[in-house]
Amino acid sequence: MAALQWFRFFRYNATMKLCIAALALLLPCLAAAPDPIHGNDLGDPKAPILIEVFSDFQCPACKRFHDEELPSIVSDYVSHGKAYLVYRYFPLPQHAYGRKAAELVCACAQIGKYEPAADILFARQSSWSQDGKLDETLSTVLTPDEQKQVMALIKDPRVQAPIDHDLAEGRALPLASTPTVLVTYKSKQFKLDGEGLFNYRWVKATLDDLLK
Amino acid sequence: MTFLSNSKTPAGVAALILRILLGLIFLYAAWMKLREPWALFAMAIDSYQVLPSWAVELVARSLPWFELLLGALLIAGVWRGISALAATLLLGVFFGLMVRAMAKGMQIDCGCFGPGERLSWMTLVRDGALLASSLFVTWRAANLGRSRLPD
Repeated sequence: MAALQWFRFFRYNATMKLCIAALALLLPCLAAAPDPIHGNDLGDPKAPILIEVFSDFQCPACKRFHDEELPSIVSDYVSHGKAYLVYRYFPLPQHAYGRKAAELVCACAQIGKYEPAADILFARQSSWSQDGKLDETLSTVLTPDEQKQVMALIKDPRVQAPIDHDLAEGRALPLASTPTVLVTYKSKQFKLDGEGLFNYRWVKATLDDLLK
Repeated sequence: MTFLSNSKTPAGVAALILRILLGLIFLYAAWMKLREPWALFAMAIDSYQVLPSWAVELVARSLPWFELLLGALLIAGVWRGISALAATLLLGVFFGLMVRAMAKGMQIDCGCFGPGERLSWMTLVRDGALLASSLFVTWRAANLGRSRLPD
């Protein structure tokens, strides 16, 4: 009898150990859902610095950052393999067309047209922010065939999931305003926002300081 | 021993505790700024929109070291009057800038303990309390210097 009890005890423990081992292996997968980056990135993913730009296409400060600061960051760091840039969709609830703009640009990103779509929306922000004619604005940079693809994709999980993912990530930071730039270097994160973000001197000094 | 001397009265004990507390807060503020790239603190200073870029850089690079020195002097009790007065003036400037930013409705980082802390009524109350404490420590140090009474 005693031998049988020992056998049962051992079998129970072995099964438990296997279950715990399986759970331990599964936990990282459950904790970190895959980041759905598709077309909304620029540069080498293996670059030492990761720059994430949380931005809303209807926010005037985001347009200013996109027009004035981002080109310098791209030419000085992303093009030289020093930084990997990811554009994060962060439509603000107070902007009537923010979410729709994000959906359209994300759909464009799925067909490899993120940059022309983002560029034209920021360039004509004052116009479509008034009348909501986003499709018309985008039609200037897309072929009729591409427009059909974008419209077909708009409610697709491939478009909705990245936006929801980025919104959740931004809220978790938490984000106080847009644009916010999240710089990651060797597992350390730095949040850049506010008026100081619009002085490229400080952005450059921060990135140079990290790279030296 | 300078660190603990002249603290026999209740007011003297209070001044001693507040001086050491202020010193520790200045050390903490300095450490929080020095562990991050200096340009992040420069961004926070620039957000107040009171200084030209060259002055922002000068302050961002030097202020944390000054806070470190001030914190050490306050704790050690060396040059007590001068260090207390310097702390009061510095906290007064910070408080004035924060009140100005709040009055203008600026939604910016406080920059008090490095980047990431939003300017709010809470930060204003905290800075006000620190300023009041520093004023008390300065007043005690000045009284001690004038009358030579035990602190």
